[in-house]
Amino acid sequence: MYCRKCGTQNDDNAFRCVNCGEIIQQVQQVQQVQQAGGNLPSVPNYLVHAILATVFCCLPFGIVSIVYAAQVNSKLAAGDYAGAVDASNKAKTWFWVSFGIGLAVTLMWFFFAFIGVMSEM
Amino acid sequence: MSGMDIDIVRWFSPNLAKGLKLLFISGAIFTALFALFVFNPADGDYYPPCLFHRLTGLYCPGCGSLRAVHQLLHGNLSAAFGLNPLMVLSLPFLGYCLICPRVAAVTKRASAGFIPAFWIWLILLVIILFWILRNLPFYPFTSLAP
Repeated sequence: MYCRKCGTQNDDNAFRCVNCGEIIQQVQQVQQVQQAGGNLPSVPNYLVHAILATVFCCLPFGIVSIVYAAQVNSKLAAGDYAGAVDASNKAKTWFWVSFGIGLAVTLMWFFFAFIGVMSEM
Repeated sequence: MSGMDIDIVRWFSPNLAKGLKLLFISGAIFTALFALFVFNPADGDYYPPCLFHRLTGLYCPGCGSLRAVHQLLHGNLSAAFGLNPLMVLSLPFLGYCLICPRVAAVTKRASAGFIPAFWIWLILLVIILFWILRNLPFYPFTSLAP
């Protein structure tokens, strides 16, 4: 089995590529499932999360999430299951970055507002 | 609730963990909507500012969305549209995206509601255009600003 990232030949049962560390077992499993005629679990694209983050968290990170959401669906359509899973994870990560910063700003805002009110009393 | 508690709950009952998560999220959304219904963001500094607007002075694609939600909750669709048309237009689309997987699960058709990547790229283009145009300081683009 060859690594799809760097092309190094690996043992057929290897989980990660010995050269670059890319997960290669997943690709093999997908091929086995497809050969057996089975259905793969669906890959979430986090488009709803991404749009909500863009509209309500006020940061460009939600847009990064939308880019990866589009990549999930284009890779699924092209049959690149491992690539779609990878893009799905990135879409999820960037949603949480956006949400986390939005939440931190919100909590800080209420914290300082609370301190402001207390100091006036 | 700490992560470990959730893991224990999940170990005993995956459905309970899912239910608690759903309860927590819907509770947070309901609380936020209730606050937005009662307190108008246009009236003062109740709500946190948009970080992007505070740092750059420019409007982001989400600027005005909290004021727009307040107007929507009071039934003023046109006022909400004037504050952030992108947010108002995105709501029916988000509803569609949330319903599709449920429909697909019931009808056992995995492909139901799969949005071709082309449409997601188009949505991205619309958002970026909206972002640029609402910052232009002359008519008719000034009407896109909140």
